[in-house]
Amino acid sequence: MKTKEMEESNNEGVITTFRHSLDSIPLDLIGDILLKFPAKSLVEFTCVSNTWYSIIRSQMFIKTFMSMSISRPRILLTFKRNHNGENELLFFSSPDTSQVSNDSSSVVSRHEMTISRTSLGDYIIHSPSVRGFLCCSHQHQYMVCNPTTRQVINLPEDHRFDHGTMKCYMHLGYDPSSDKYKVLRMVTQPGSNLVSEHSVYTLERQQCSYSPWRRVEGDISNYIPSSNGVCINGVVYYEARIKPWISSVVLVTFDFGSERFCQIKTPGEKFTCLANYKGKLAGLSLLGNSFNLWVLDDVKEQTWSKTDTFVLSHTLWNIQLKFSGTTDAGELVFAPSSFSDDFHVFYFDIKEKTMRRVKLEGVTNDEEFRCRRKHLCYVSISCDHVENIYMY
Amino acid sequence: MSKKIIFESSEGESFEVDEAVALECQTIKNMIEDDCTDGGIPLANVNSATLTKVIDYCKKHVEAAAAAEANAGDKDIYGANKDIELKTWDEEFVKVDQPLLFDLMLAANFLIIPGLLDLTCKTMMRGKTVLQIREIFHIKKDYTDAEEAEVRKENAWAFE
Repeated sequence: MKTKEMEESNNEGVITTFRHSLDSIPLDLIGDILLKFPAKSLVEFTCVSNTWYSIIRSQMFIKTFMSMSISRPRILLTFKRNHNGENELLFFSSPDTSQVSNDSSSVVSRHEMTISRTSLGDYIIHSPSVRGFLCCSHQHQYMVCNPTTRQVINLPEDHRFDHGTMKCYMHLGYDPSSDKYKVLRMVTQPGSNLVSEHSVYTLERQQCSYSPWRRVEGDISNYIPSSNGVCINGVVYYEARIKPWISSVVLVTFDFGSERFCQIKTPGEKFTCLANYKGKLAGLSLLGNSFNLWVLDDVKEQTWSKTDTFVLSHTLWNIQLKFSGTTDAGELVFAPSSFSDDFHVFYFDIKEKTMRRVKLEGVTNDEEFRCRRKHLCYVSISCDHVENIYMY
Repeated sequence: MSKKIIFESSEGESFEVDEAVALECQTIKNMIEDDCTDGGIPLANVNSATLTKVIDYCKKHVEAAAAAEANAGDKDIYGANKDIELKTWDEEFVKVDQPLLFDLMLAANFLIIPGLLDLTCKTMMRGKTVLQIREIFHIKKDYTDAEEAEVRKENAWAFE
């Protein structure tokens, strides 16, 4: 209820306002207030009232929250573990450290969620965080999960698909034109390593039950996917080996909006890993302890430029750093591939050719983690993870 | 001497402040720019107790900003300490009872003082249970028990 307070006052300079009765503070103010809180608090706040629930779950709120999340990216750590016969995937996240100027510092990570299965086999991560969602699989079950809301969406199985003889690859992507998340699936011919079929699955709140995987036709077929996938502006990029197999590599692009494939020539150097470098696709080629970074300057013209050759020091080389992506500022991020108590993430500044390291704390203090950690545990890192509160 | 601005609280009490302090409020800043502050600014929905606090807050933050500017050259040495000092001051500042905190939040929203709005909201809700939040915001429970149980179950992990 709003009551008009200063009706009779019409002096110049007088602020004529409505006094908000305490029973109802304005809805837009509630929205503004809620936006100041992290995702976990928001999940809790949905229990306050129907109104708060509707605000937090509204498209508008989720969008605004997303735009704020993007301005404060996080690092997502994913641990693969086997514990008491259970195969687990643990998610931790920590704040972005680009504001930290010291060459050595630390950030605290927090546990986001753990998923586990009793059946044999490790979890496999197919896509790093795409606006907060990841694609992973365990055995034949493929899923998209969001560590922020702890939601796991199992992707439907395709009954035509014979897991014994056929292989399958997945890339998760976001199409900004339709504001939808989609999964691109590549399936090989039976008994072969060659991809021969592509289909797309669109994540929806109300999933239709009939044949949710749609075939997409592309002029590319009979190839072996040979790199990670990187999704930039609705387009996923991945490398593929084609005939004749020796050194014939192309870059495949798939536009999640138009659902069309394209091929791009690579500069001839074999990339170890693809990444998003300041909004452009980049390929990192590692040779011994030195590396080159190639940037795809123009997608249409297919022009690449090469940065200087960089050398990692031997001490860093010895801990077997794995390239994990880039930050918004264009730093290259490296991290060890298995977890240790003294776990650091390394940031390499290409311009200054300097390396800074950030210690990730909090993981080993976490009860969840401590009681489960016994053996070697593999870690992978997503550099541009964001909190996304969208629920399917 | 700097220009003065006069605020009038809902009880009709007058408060004289430096223009620089008043400029911390975006709403007032707009009025000053439009040149319609002569004869004082009546704030019909801000009572004296709240207004006193709001002015305290703005004064402190104007002083802190001025001090930071004066020390800009030495920022590496002192900048961080000043930030901590202001943070500590803010923490002390919001150690007030819930109703006043609530009024401060509404005033910060109305006068558009982003820092104060942020501070009051976070203080008010941090570590509070759902029941306490309902009380603070005078929210009547509009869930049935069954509905509430379901929403709680769905989001149980967030209460850990």
